[in-house]
Amino acid sequence: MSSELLTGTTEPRAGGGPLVRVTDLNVCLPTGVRSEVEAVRSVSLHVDRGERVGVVGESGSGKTVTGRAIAGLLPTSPRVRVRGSIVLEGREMVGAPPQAWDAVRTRTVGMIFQDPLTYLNPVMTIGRQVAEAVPAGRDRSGQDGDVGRFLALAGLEDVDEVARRFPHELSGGMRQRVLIAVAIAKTPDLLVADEPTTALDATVQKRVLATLDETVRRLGTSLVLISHDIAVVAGMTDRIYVMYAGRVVESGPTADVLDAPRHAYTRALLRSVRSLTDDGVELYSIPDSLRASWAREEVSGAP
Amino acid sequence: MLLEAVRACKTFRARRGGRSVDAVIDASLQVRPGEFVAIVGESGSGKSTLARMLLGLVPVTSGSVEFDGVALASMDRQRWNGYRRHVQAVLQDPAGSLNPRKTVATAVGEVVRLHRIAEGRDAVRRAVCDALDLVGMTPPEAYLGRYPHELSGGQRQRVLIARAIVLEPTIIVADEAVSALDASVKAGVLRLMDDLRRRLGVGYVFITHDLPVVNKVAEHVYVMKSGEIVEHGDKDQIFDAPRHPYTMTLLAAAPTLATGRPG
Amino acid sequence: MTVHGTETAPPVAGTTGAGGRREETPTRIFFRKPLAIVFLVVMALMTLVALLGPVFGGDPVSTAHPPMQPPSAAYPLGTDHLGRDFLARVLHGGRLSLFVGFAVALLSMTLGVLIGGLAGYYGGVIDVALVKVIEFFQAIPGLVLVLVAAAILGANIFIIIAIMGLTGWPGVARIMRAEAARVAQLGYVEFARAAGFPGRRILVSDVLPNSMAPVVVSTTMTVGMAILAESGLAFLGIGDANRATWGSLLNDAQPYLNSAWWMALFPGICIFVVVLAVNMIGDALNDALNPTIGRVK
Repeated sequence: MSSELLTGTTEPRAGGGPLVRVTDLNVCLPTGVRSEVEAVRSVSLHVDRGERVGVVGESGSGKTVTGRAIAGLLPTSPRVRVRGSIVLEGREMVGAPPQAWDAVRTRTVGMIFQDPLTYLNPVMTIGRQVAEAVPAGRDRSGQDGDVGRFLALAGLEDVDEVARRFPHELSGGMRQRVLIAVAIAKTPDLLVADEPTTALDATVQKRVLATLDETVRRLGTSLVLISHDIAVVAGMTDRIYVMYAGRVVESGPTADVLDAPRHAYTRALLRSVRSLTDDGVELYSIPDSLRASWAREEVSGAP
Repeated sequence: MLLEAVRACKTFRARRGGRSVDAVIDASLQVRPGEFVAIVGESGSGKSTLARMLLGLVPVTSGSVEFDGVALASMDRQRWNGYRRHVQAVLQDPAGSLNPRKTVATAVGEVVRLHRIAEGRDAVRRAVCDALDLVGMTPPEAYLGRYPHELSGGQRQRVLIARAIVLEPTIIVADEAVSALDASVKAGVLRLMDDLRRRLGVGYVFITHDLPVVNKVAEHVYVMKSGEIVEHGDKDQIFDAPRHPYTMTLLAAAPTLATGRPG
Repeated sequence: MTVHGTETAPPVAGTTGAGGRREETPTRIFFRKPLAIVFLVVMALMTLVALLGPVFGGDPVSTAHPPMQPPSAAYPLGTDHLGRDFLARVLHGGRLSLFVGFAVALLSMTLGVLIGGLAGYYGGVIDVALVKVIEFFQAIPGLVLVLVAAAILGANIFIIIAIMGLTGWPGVARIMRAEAARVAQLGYVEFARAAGFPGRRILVSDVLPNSMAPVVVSTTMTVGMAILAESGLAFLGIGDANRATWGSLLNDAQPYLNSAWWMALFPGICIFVVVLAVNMIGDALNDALNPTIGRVK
C-alpha cells in the first residue's frame, strides 16, 4: 500500500471537543417477557478525535452494549430503555429521531463485529457490499476504484479478484478484513470494533490487528476497541476503560492502568490473565468472596 | 494404561464429485494416566478430528487407535466397555454440550447408571454429589435440580468435567474445553483439571489453539498443521527451542500483555 | 495445592424483574398471552361439549320432531328438513369432526416424527432412503386419493382419516428431519455417543425431545387443516353418509339455504371457531417453544 491510495484524510479532522462524549449512560434490556437487565449503569466515557480507546471486561460486563449504544445499534424495541447522554460530534443522540441515527450510521460511525459471516450478505459479491457502504451523497463515479482502494486498505491482496467473490468463498481472516473494508468505506470518524479478532486463529489475529492499526492510523479515524482479551486491547489503544457488572470501574492511559491498576477488580483481572501466561505463577481465578464484596460496596454506594 | 494413536489417518470422502479431504495424516501420539498432553493447532489443522478418533467417535481410515495395545476396531464388547469407561470426553461448551432438558442430576446420573458405577437412587445420587463436590460445585445439592441455562459458563464446564470424572476415568480427552471462557473462569477450570490430575491421576489429551495455556499446564506438546503432527516434544523444548518453522510462527503470534503495538 | 476460591459467573449486571430463575418456562410464556388462554378455553369447551354433549343432547337420528323449525326454546338450534333435532346433530357432528382432526394430526405426527427423526439422526444411507419414501408420499395427491377410495370402497370415515394421515405426514417428517439433523450435531449428542449410550437411547432421550417443538406446532395446525378438509369433502358429498360431521351438516343444508338459515350457520360457526382456535393455540405454542421469537437478546 502506498499513501497515494488515500484521499487526504490522513490528518485527524478538525473540531473542538471530543468526538464522542457519553455521560451517565444507563441501558436496560429486556431478558424475557417481564424481566429485564440493567446492562449498562452510569457509564461515562469519551473518545477524542484520532484517539484509540479500549473497553475491556468479562462476559456480561456491559462492554458490548456500550459499544452498540455508541454506534446506534441497540435493538429497536420500546422495552429497551436508554437514559443519560450520548453526544456525537456535538449532537445529543439519546432521544434523537431515527433519521439522526441513520445519518450517524451511514457517515460518522462504522462498526466491526466478531462474526463477519452474520453481517455479510451471502448472496452479494464483496465488491457490491463495499460499494453500497459508500454514502450516497459522495461522488460514486470512481466507485470501482474506491472498492479496490478500501479492500487494499483493509489489507487484502488481489483486490479485483476478492471483489468478485462471495463471502463463503473467503477465509475467516479475509472476511474480517472485508468487514473492516465495509466499515471504512464510509470513511467514518469513529470505528467501533467489538471483539474483531476473537473468532480468528492467533496467527491471523495478529495480522488483522496490524491491519486495523495501520488503517486507523492512515485514515485518522478514532477507534473504540472492545474485547475480553486485555492483551489485544493493550497493544492497540491509548486509553482504556475497565468494565465490571455494567459499570466502568477504572479508566486511564492504557499503560498506567496495566502497570498500576487502582481498582481491586482490575488488579484481580490482571492477576488472573497473567496467571494464565506467566511461568511460576499459580493459576488464579477471582474468588466469589471478592466478587461478593464488590457487590456489597456497590449497594453501600462506596466507589 | 495407555491410549495411543498409531500412524492414524482419516480421510473424509467427499460427496459426489468433490475432493476428499485428508483431515489427519499419519498421526502417532501417546498418553498415559497422570500425563498432561496437549495438541495445539489452528482451525483446520485436524486436531478436533484426531480427538474424535481417540474417543472412538470417528473411525480411522488407516493406522489405529489403541487402548492398552488393543485397537479400538478389534475390541470385543467387554474391552470396549472398559475403554468407554476409562477414556472420557469433555467437549467445548457454549453451543450445547449439555442437553437443555436435563438437570445436572440427570446429566451426571445417567452415565453413572449406564456404566453401573452405582445402583439404586440413593447410591447414584451420592455418586453424582461426590463428583460435583470434586469439581468444586458446593454444596452439590444446590445444583442437582438446575438446568444448563441456569448455570454460568464456568459451572457448565464443571458439570461436563464432573460427568467425565464420575466414571473414574484414567484419561480425559478435552477439546477446546476452556477456550470460550473468561480469563478468570478459565484459570479456575484449568486449576481444577490440574488438581484432578494430581489427586486422581487422571491423564489429559488437551486440544486447543491457545498456546499460552498449553505453556502453563502441559507436559508434552504435539503441534498440528494441515492434518499432520509437525513437531512434538516436551513442553520446555517446544516453547524454548522449537524446531519447526510453524511452531515458531505460532509462538510469535500468541498475544501477551507484554507486546506493544503490532506491526 | 493452594485454593484461592472457586470462580463463578462474572455477574451479569443486576437482573430485575418479577420472577426468579423460573421466569421463562414455555408454559409461562404461553399462559401470558390472553388470546391463547381464551382460545384454549374455547377449544377445551368445544371438546368437552362434543364428548359429553351426545349423552344428554338428545337423539340425532330421531325424526319425531316437526321439520324445519327455526331455533326456539324447545329446539335451541331448530330442526332439519327430516325433523331431527339440530342441536343433537351439531353435537354429534362435532364429536366426529374433532375426532377426525385429532386422529389425522396424531397419525401424521407419529409417522412424521418417527421417519423424520430416523432420517435426520442417522443420516447417510438411511437418510437417502427415507427421503425417497418421504418424497414418494408427498407426491400422492391426498384429496384425489380420498375421492378414488370413496368411489371404490365407499366413503368410510376411517378410510378418510387413514388417507389424510398417510398423505399428511411428509410435511412433518421434513421439519423433523431438519431439526433432528441439527440436534445430532450438538455437543451433548456427541458426548452421549462418547459415553457409550446406544443409538436408540440417544434418539429417544436427547434428539427427539429437543427437536419436537416445531413439530408440535405444525401438528396443532394439522388439526385445523384436517377438520377443514373433512368438512370440505363432506360438503361436496364425499363423506360418511351414516355419520354426521359438521361438514355433512353443511352438505345437508345446501338445498335449504334460503329457508333454513340455521342449518348452515351453526355448523359453519363451529368449524370456524375450532379452526381459528387451534391455529391461535399453535401460534402461541410456537412463541412459547421457540425461545428466539419475541424476545430481545
